[in-house]
Amino acid sequence: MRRLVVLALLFGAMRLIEPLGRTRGAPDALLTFGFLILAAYAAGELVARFRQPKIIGYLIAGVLAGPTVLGTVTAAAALRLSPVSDLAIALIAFLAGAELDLEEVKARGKQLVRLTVIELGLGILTLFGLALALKQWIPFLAGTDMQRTILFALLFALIAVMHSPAIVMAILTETRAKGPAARATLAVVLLSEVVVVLLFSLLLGAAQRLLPGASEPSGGVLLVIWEIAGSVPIGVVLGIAVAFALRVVRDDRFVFALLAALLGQQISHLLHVEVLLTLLVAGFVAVNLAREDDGDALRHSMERAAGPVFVVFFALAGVAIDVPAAVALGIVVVPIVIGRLIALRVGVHFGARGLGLEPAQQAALWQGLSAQAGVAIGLVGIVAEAYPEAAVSMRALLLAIIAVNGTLGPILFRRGLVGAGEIGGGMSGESAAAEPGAADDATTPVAEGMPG
Amino acid sequence: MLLILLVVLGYLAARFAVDWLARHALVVSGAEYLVLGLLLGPRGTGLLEPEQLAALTPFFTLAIGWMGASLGFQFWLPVLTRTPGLLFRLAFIESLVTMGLVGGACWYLLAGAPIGPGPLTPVAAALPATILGAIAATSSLMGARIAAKSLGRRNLAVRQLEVAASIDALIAVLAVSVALAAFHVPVGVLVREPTATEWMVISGAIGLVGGWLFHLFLGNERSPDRLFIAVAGAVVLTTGAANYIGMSALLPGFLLGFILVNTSKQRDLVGDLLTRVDRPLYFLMLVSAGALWSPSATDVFVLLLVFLGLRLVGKVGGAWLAARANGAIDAFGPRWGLALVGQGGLAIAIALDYSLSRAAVLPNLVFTAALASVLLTDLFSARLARDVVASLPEEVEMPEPEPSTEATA
Repeated sequence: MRRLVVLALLFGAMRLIEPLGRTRGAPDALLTFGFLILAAYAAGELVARFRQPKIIGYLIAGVLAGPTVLGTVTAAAALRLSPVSDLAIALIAFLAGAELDLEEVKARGKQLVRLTVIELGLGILTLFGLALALKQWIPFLAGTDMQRTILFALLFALIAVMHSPAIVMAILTETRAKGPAARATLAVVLLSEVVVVLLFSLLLGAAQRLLPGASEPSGGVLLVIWEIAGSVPIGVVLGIAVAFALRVVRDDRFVFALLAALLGQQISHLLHVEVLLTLLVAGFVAVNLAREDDGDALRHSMERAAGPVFVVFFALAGVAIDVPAAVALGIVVVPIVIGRLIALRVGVHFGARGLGLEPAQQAALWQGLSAQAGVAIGLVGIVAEAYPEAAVSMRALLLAIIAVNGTLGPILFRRGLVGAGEIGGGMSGESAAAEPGAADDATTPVAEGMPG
Repeated sequence: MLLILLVVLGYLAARFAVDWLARHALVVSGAEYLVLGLLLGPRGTGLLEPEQLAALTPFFTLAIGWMGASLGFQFWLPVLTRTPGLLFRLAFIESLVTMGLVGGACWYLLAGAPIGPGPLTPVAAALPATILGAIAATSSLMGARIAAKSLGRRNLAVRQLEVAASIDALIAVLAVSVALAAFHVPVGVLVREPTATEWMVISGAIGLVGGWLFHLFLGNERSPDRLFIAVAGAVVLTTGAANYIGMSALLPGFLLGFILVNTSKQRDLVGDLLTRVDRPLYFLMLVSAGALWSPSATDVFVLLLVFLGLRLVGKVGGAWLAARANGAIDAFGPRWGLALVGQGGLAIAIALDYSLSRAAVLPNLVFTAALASVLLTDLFSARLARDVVASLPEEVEMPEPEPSTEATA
């Protein structure tokens, strides 16, 4: 309650100084961002009291502060903050890759691939079928010929089936879950990311041959395929470089990881490869190739700093949610969300057989896969280049679905992990914010005791 | 691909070089991050384009505000009140002499000599001259810390260096804020433009009100993770507010840190968090500074040399003058100011802050002076500080206060 009152006072203070800077071009990004962090933090603590994941609070704070509700964070400010969001997702991808253990991938790789293929296949089929069944309420499908309907419905299904590595990482970091269900969920989420984007590229290439659009996505089909295929070798090279550099970098590991993520992001843009995939691979290679102590130290440094990164990422993700549009599309969104959940449950049931998971662990797994975040929107951007007329309504529908799954998914996943007995010690997520080595450099001279 | 390789190799080479220097020559520096910035920036490989650097502005603005908060956190009243007044007197005199000497000389050169685009008007020259003076006043704590570590003891001389570095920071932050308030670009939408005093009051109020509200917001929170998020939000909000009104984020950040250290129940935890993040943000700021650096024309070379030379004179001479005027030559020696020659991160923060300001005059010159001074002085500041402290006796004795006339009578 006290924090809410302080937030209200801060909100008032922000309004008070508003006239003092009006002539400057959208400079209020940092100001509103600070408010957003505090609001997200307060909301996260509030929902944690109701035994819900904090990221729900972060998302709600983002939605409330966003342009479609209170408007504290304007669309222009959100745009200016996109580098912050991009860097946060790059770090999350790097951390997610670093969490994957090579030994486990070797031991259970085949079973994980099998599970991924089955749950994705069933999910795509279900969403494709639902899109066709609800065609008349879906703007980009209504009134189109059969060929266009099938291709757009498939593209939509491929994007709508995607999971969220960011949400899975956030819940795992917050709950410190490390059990079989948690590890399998993370592996499947990362693997499915690669498979979906690859399938998407192939389908878009085929679609453009059959249905030439307004323009080819920058560079044509080959470039779209390169975006995915090229990410792996580039991620490997970056990962090797990071692994070797870790031998030299003894302290400031988090800032080093930050720089590596930033560098990976820039390299990906420069070479037109997928940022997330590149950093996932880089994180995986770096930690598994580095000397054991170095790899663990890097991973722990990033884990300790992950909490604030998640606040930033999910609060900004909340800002992007268009509440009125999501409500307006409710008639389509509800059956699609339910259908996707059922497909996931069935897909995991059949796909997870070789993994030796207990029913409660299987439940945690499919519930973890239900979460979605804004990564899928990136693929709509590629569709928009080829078919701008379809992309606008497809984006609106996907944002609405993501809004629901992004809220429902974390709640389900946490519940699933509790059910599977993989959450120990509550939802504390006590993590220091940065590098342990930096503690030697405490700078409180005047505050230090006098000699003698 | 060649560019990327160049960047990676450049960074690693610089890192190796700095590590080697740190081990063998007692050199403390973030030079490798500056080199990385140079390599990544438009003047290097161009991997970071000007638009991308502009997009990163919130990060380094935040780094500036964070540095302000860390500085403010050094002023814990219970310890301040126990510190002998002499140490503050020495520090204030040394700092003001350095700032006055460098600022005055730079003003004279900028207003009278054909530097850069031509001689500036006396009023216009006052802004860059004041900023250069403020940059000159700053000094790094690192020298004193390494000296104490290397000698294995902390005596009154080390303490004096710590107090002096903190007071130098305070003077510099105040000077920058006053200068930016005096030269504030008109807002244009208000009934009446705020005066320089009003801008200073608004800037201070952001820090004070923000600090008080965040004190309430933090409450009894003990978790480092949650404390970090709250403190980060507080610093971002304060920095953003200062940035929004076109003022330096250093003063509001400083006041926020000052209030937090003196009111927070979690003083140690908050201080630890501020310190831990300070370092990564400093390195990020160095990378940005390296990328943003646009070398000034060769005709400012003279001014650069004058800046570096007079700063050295100001630090050493000002410290000597202060000690002599207060009868403390025997206690601290005639050249204790040499230990304050190291510049540290605040100089870069001020230069970056100034170059981002809309009111900035000759920002490249100021930026170049700060970078050159930081790189140069980091090479030998720790060694100088160690030598100064080593030359003093184990137990430094405070000068006896002179008896007052009433007491004599």
